[in-house]
Amino acid sequence: MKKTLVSVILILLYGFISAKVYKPADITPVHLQDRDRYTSNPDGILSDQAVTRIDAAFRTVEDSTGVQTLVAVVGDIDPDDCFEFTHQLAEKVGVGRSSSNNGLVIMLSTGERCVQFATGYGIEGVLPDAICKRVQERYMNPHFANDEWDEGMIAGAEALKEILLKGEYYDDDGDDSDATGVLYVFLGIMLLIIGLVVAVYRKSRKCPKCGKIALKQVSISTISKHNGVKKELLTFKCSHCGFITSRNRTSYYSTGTGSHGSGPHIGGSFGGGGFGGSYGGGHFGGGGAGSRF
Amino acid sequence: MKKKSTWIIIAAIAVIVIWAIKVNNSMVTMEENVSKSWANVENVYQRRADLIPNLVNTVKGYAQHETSTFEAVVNARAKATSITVNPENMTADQLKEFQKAQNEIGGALGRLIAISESYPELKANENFKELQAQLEGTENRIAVERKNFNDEASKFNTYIRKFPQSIIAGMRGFEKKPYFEAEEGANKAPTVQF
Repeated sequence: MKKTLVSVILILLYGFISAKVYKPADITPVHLQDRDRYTSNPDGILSDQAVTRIDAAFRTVEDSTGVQTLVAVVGDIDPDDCFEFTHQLAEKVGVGRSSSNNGLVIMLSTGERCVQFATGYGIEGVLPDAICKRVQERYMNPHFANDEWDEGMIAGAEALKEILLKGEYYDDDGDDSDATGVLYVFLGIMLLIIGLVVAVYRKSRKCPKCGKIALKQVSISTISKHNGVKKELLTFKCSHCGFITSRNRTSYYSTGTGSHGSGPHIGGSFGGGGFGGSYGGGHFGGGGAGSRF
Repeated sequence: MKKKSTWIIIAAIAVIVIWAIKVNNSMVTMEENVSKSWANVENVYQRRADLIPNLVNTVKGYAQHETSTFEAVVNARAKATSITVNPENMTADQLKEFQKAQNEIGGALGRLIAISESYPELKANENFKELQAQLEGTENRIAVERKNFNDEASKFNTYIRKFPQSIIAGMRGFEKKPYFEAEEGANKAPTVQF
């Protein structure tokens, strides 16, 4: 009895302790649920206002440069090496597009007292290590040294935004790359449909005698109309050779007893805000910088 | 009846040949990946080597007397850049030699950076700080690319040593790739921290 009690307490204690140490896999990328959010703040270290401002900064960055960001603010981390943790997190989530590796990960661990940036292969040019370091030293570390997490993160995010927007970096196959693909498929289908319509039209207008596409409809008369089935006789005259031909056409009309429609039903519920964003599997080569405070 | 068994044998041989070709091609692809990741390893080490002249010059401006440290870095660099390893037929010894030479650079750089502790002006120099940040980033890149190389080599090794692929590997002369070994305390690359 005593034994079970002790083990229950131990398990609870373990659960309590382990809940506070984050592994890279424990970080939920909130951007996937809501494309306007970038900051994972599971311990509530940052205030909601700070998160909103940081998210807004990186939304602007993604809109104008295509650079995708993930911000993680946590207490203790495992592995406790800040670079190792951040790199694993970045690779695991796959921040950035795989074609351009334009991901940026910003990690703040209040337990290890370190901040670390990880830059994807593609943005090492616009955000070199030395610049990352400078942002941390000028804008973030002075605040972090006094435990001012909100101020430091906001200042850092704003500084990164400035640099990225000024960097004239633009990822060509940015946000609309997927949309372009869809557009091409759509265009292809449209062309196919148009082609089919034209082919059917040409066939129906082909004169059986001279072979020219010159048949013109000259008259139409209804033969019968019964139980929703309408039969008509169409007469065509070839404008090239004057040949006259006629065809039957069967069509179906609504008798009014079929369905009692209630107008178009627009279902589904809107709300809950943005759609989920996506990360594209970008890779990281160890770029970025880290500092302790 | 005789005809039927002939067909069965021909079909079996065809299946085996197709399988052998597939296995061979995946080995070629995997070896190519090992070579690619080796090229990345060499790139990041080269990147570090390229930082050295700048770094030495900057430190020299503030600490002229530390000549032995400068020499150690420059010599280690010269030695390391003379070693090249061909990923196609690299041996464990070659990789060990390469790693040893690179570790010497790492150690010498660590001592060079440590000098700054006794020269506050150097420590505050913007250029030096920038180089330090670059060096730190490069050390991280080295760690990443070394791990990538080990992963690719491990994939290749596992594949070629498993039965029955091992038969094809033996016939085609594919050999096990060596790994980077975890660094021991004394050889550990400098952790540049502020």
